[in-house]
Amino acid sequence: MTLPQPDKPDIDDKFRTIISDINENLVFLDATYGVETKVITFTRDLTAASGTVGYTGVGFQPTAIILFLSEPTTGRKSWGVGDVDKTNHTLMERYDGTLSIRTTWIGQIWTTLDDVHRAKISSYDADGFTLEWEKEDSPTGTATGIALCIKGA
Amino acid sequence: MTLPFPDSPNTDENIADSITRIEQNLEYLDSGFSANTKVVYYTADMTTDLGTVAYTGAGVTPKMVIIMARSTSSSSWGVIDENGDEMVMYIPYTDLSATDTAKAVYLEQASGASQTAVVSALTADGVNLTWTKTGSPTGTANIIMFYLG
Repeated sequence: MTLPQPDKPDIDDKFRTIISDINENLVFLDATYGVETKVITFTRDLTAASGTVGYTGVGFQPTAIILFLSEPTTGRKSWGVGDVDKTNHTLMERYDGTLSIRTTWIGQIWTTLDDVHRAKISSYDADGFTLEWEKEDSPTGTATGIALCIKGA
Repeated sequence: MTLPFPDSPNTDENIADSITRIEQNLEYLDSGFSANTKVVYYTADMTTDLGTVAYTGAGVTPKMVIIMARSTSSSSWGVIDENGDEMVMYIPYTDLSATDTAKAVYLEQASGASQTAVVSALTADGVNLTWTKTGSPTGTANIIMFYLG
């Protein structure tokens, strides 16, 4: 009587499959959870109408932004942060040179008592972010923004 | 961020090599996943040609540095990303504001009197900055660095 012999298990093939699966998981983990940072700069015409503007060139979808905004003619400036929930806060210099906090905006240039230009995060995008700009009355000049974009784990 | 992933193994030798490379990738990912933070305070002599200075104490290779600096009549807020790209917003002696997209520190005390710094390297424990002195700035700069790595 001859017993049925099992096939010889191809251990090598299974081992290779496991290693390939591990590699695929590493690629996924790297793309999903790796910490990345990128700094970009832009300008904003303070006479422009309210509206949204997309900024690209980041190379990943941020989960947080640190934004420095300044207008050289008047010297007005702000330092803002936005988190993964698009909650915005900024410390900004008012038209009279004093400092103040705003909890709705990530950046604000306040040139005179009535003239303001400010922004908040509208969305985080695949290659950058979109800011929603709001203009009050008639600010002038051009602001420069420095945005440090962060993708966190 | 690109990992040196091994090719699909097709021989026993390649399997052994692949396992080694997976171990290396796991170490890489561990550093990539980490979000360690550290704040370190430094000073800099504004009167000296400082050259390249190694700032240490981060404990990790930073993926991001925020540099807040001040000296007499001047201050600056600089950022550095993981690629070593740098930008700074600064307030010079005029009390206005300005930006420079190729520097990390910019302290201008008077017309023709400043110290500026650029990133020369992100290191395993912080950042190396190369300073340039113009004219005769005075005093000491106070510098706070926030590292994320």
